[in-house]
Amino acid sequence: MWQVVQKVFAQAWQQFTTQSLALLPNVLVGLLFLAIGTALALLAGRVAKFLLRRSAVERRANKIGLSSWLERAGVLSATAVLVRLVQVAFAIITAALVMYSLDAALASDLTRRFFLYLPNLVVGITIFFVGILTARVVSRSVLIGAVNRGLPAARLLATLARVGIILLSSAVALEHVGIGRAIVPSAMLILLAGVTFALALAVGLGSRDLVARWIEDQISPPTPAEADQIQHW
Amino acid sequence: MSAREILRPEVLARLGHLGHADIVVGIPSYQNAGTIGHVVQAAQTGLAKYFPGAQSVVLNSDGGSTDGTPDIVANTIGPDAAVVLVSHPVRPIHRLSVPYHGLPGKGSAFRTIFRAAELLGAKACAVADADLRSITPEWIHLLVAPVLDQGVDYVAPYYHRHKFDGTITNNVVYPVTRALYGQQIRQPIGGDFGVSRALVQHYLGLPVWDSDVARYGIDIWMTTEAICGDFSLCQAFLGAKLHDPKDPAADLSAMLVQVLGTVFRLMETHAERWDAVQGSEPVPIVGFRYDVGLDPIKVNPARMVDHFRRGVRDLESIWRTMFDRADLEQLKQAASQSGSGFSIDDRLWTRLVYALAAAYHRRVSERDALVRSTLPLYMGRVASFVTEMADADARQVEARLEQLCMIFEQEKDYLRRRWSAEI
Repeated sequence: MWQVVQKVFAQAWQQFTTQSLALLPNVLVGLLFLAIGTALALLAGRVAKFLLRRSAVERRANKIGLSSWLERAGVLSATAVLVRLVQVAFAIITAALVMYSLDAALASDLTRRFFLYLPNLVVGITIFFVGILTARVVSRSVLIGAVNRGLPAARLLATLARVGIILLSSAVALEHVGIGRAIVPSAMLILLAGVTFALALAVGLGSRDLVARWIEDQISPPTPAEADQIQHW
Repeated sequence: MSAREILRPEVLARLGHLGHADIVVGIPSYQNAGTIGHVVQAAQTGLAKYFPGAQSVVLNSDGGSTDGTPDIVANTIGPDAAVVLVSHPVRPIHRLSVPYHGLPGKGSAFRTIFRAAELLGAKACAVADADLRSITPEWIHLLVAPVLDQGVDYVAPYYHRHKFDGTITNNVVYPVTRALYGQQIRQPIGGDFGVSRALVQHYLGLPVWDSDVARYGIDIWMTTEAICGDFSLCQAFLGAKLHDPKDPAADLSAMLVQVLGTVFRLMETHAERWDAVQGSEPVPIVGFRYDVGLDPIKVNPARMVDHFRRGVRDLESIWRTMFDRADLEQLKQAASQSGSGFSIDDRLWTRLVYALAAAYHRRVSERDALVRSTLPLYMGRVASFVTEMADADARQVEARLEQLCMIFEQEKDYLRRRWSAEI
């Protein structure tokens, strides 16, 4: 009995060492690719930053109005975005090389699948990030606008706006990448119904006076005599 | 018409027919049917009375009024008067926005007036708002005579206003402009002014006429460029400024964006200039100064303080990106003060304005949002000022504003530090 166990153990160890030794060069090459790829990504980032600064990308982006658009989305530097894109490209190439060095067949299969899936993934990620940026801009605008118009629940409104947009964009993004095609729309419907119901309750129970005042103001706005008569400028 | 010519052929033909003018009085207008007749009459009378020997032209540049403003101008003038009626281009965006003077495309109107003055070879050009109720023929004399007789290039208005009127001017634009550029021009966004031929040509040569500055902030732009171009300056005491009441529902935050946005953008253009300036010097005032009785106005500081408190409660996340922590703490303390004890002191206010300018310059977030978020601060400052000056007379208020201006001048190093700080 003990001899059988020893034999099995020896065979397993031999197989492990043989396969590990066979795979070791691939792992080492993979690690080498990873190290070189990381270094190159960092270096490329710095070079790109230097070149973009020299070519006055910020000024050009400002001139064509791109800066203003990015600024609204909470992105304060076109250079930073481009540098990050360069680094992401290097990271993807490095990952592919590492996979190829470990198992060419598997990597080839994964790469093929990845490229088939890539359009959906890109669109999904883009939708998600556009949603995040839009949520940030809208939330900030709602917050400032609500405070300046004297609405009592400014932060709540801003949060609702942000969460709503993020949820919507997430659902659309998931739909695009093919995850939970049936579940996501149903979940969204349930969520929206819940939010609508909660808002209806809030308006009905908690904000009757506010709504009444608002409607009153719409029907008969306060006369100028009641308003401040200061000329601010 | 050359590719760069901004005037239409019929206007050029009319100007060609007139040939030459010594003085051009421009009146930009938009929906001013109620007042423009009076303004045109005052201009014509002023020219006839004070400059009888000069060839003068009154030029109305209208932004597409639909209330009959151009017809009223046409009916007001005499048959042999030298008057030019033109319309300046107004893009749709002008109508959608709310320019703080209620005049869409004011920059285009000024450009039209200046170009006409240049073509006519005018030695002096005066501009008056079309919504004025208090303009008299003497205004034309006061705005034009310094240019013709004393060689002054830029005549800024100096009005007598209610102690609580012009709060953006009093609490921000005047102190900032004075501290930055060292010239004590009391009404830098006055709207009525006189300019020399040299300054007209200088204005026309600057690449600004298609920008937001020309659209929204032409008045402060003109004042700033006159100072930074080293043109000779004076102020004309015009008495009371009474004009058509502005729309009470107008979006004050949009006005702040327009006025302060222009001031801050001009700071970027003239950064080297203001960086080198220390202190300020008075600008001579022409005209007989007298006190004017002004109707009392209704102000409700409590509502402004409420607005301020809402801002402190809800906008801290945005303000944190602009202001020092210690200043935010002071704002919180101010928000916790009761009605009569409420105060935003001069030094805190100055630091907030300078920090906002630096944040705008460094684009710590979207620029317009930064300015809009400070409306509660502005309301708090106005409430503080109104409460403090409730029983003060006009002279005491003016002395108080002088104190504020001195603080702005003293704190300029704070602006310099923040302006050049790394993000």
